[in-house]
Amino acid sequence: MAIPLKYNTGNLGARRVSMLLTILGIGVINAVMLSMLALWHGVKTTTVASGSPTDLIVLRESAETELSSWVTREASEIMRTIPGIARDATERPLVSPELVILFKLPRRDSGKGSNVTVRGLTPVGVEMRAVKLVEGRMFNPGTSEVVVAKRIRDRFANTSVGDTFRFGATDYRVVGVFDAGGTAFDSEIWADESFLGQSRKRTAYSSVLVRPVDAAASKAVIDTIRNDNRLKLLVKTERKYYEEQTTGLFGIIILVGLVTVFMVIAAVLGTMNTMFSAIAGRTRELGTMRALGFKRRAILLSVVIESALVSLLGGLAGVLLALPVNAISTGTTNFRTFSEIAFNFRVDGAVALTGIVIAVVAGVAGGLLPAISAARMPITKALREV
Amino acid sequence: MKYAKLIRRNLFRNKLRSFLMIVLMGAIFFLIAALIQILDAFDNFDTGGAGDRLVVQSAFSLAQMLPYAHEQKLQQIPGVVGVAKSQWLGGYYKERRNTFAILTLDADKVSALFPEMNVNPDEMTEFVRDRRGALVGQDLMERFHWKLGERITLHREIFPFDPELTVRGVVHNNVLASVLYLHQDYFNEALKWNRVGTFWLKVRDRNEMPAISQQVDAMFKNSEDPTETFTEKEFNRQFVNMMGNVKVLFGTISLCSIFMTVLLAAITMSMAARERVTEVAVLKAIGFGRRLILGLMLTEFVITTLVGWAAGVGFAALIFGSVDMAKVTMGFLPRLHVAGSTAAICGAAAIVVGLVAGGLPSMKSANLRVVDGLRKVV
Repeated sequence: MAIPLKYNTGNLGARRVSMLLTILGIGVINAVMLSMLALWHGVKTTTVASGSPTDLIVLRESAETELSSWVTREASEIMRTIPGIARDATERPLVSPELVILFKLPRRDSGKGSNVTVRGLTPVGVEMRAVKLVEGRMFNPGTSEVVVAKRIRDRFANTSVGDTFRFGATDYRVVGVFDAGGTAFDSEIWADESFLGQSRKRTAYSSVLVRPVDAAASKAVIDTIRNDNRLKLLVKTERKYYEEQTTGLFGIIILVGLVTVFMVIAAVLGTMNTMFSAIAGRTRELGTMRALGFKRRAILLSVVIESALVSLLGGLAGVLLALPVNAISTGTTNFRTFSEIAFNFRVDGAVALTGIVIAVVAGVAGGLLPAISAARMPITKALREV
Repeated sequence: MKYAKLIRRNLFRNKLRSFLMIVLMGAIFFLIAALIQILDAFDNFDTGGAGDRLVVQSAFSLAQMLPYAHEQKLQQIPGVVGVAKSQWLGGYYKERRNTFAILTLDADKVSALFPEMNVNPDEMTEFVRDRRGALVGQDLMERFHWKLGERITLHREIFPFDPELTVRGVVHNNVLASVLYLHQDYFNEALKWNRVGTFWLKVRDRNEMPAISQQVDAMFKNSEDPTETFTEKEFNRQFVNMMGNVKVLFGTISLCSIFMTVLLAAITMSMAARERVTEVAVLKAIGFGRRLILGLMLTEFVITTLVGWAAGVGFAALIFGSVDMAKVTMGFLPRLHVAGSTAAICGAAAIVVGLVAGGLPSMKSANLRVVDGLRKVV
């Protein structure tokens, strides 16, 4: 017969202070681990989730990033005529030639310069990348007006609506702030393509974004672009492009891995120690239960369950502790492109669940050894214990 | 000390508990030591040069290249004894996961400007002579089993240029062990841009560096390509800044880890104290004072945390000493070690953990009334 669960919950209550400390301790471990997972999740969202799975990005053959790519104006014109490309309400083909340049701008906090991606867009491009304006308005074509992602506005000086910032010999006027829903565009400043090209003396585009009518057309469009010898261009879905960008974030992967591993070790050792102490405090009780006829297996299971219970509570406490992390927005540099990417720590259901599952698994692992030693105790010896 | 035996016996009272405690502390101090050393390595990235170099880059951004024409003007600045052009290429060998640092340099300037590369003079001569030659860091040589004279093709990352190279020399420098250098001329020949990312200046007198920096930036201020000049140290530091607020992140992780250790240690220590209530009562009954009891228990707890500290930091020193982190992380992290200051910081933290976590249980024991203690059945 199994020992009732009530025995375990009762035990948690009996040693209130030490249990609370354990739960809090495991909670902190779990919170640190969750923050790491949230960091990675946030970075992944800003990169991978940025790209549309259907839109196609066209780059120079062999270019790995938009920054190192260029597409001539002629090539862009040719692409407008490819069959299978979607059109907007006014019958304009959804082909967006874009110019991507890095601006080194001072950060708000330190005043130190960091590279911000500035994307020059045509009206069609703005239409294709539907972002939400949270303040001000969209820039007017042909002017020095720009719109700034909210996260960039928060991190860089002189980028609020109404501000003017200088780069090179040109002053740019901020007229709006947008929110791109946590994607890579949240790390960008958008400007008018032709104005940006003129002021930075660029004659070619960096990339062209193309929207096919549907999946079947997508394949045809890809083939057409690939097989056109005049173009010599590379085409892939935008999603794939952003997936490839994560390789520049090796450092974050190392950090997340390192810290998570150590937190798991700490969680296992922590529960192990508490459980050893917990059973040591009731040796006689356990001996009595054995004498009453509970099997070794029942004792083992009971201790493991108790340990899992403690970890579960610790895991939940960790989620609570980690929730404020959710709001933190920070930035790092993608070392493949040397451009700043801003991201949020994201603690969502999946991250929280992963954290709790890891905590419980660590709890079971940590409870196993104490459970075995509890189950193995000879009855006579246990009963004699003071 | 006559109480040493008492403390020792108490430490070994519950061997398993002490052992687990020590392992836990060890793991946490290993992590903290590693974090501190990584941060330190990034902060003090240093190739071991003489500190006599300035780096000139575009004031717009690193990605913006500067015209070759700047070189001649830089050379004419009094106090500048050498100028070399350098460009970050990036790229990989065969597969994307074999990504490492690839840079161009003016080959004929390498030995004068970067003596710390420690290239064999004969190999250097070969490298300078061969336009498609490469200088390769020692770890890369080992990792890909390259030999001198071997022909290799690298895959492009940024520029439309796949370098086809011959390994001509080995760079013997721990910090540059995963870097490959090729001729700036070869790169420029392929692209015909006559532009380059950075100019490296060697100055005659380090005291003149601030003045020369200002002079350079003033010189190009109104040109199409204004510059920003850094000392080599500042130049390297901007990459740390680019990573974002690593310091705050690492600091928070370390503090949380310590806080958590305090909590878990407190549980263990209160267990340890509770177990021997009767014993403490007896000690008090035979005349041990409050302070003495408090001192004995705290000493015991601090010894536990210090052993954990020694285990963690010692293990870190052992690992970093025997495993080359630069190789394991493919050049992302430099070779790590455990500095004395890091060990000291962790040691101080260990003492604090022992005192804070052991404080309450020790105080409780010290203030115990003899009758209560003797009456209690544990």
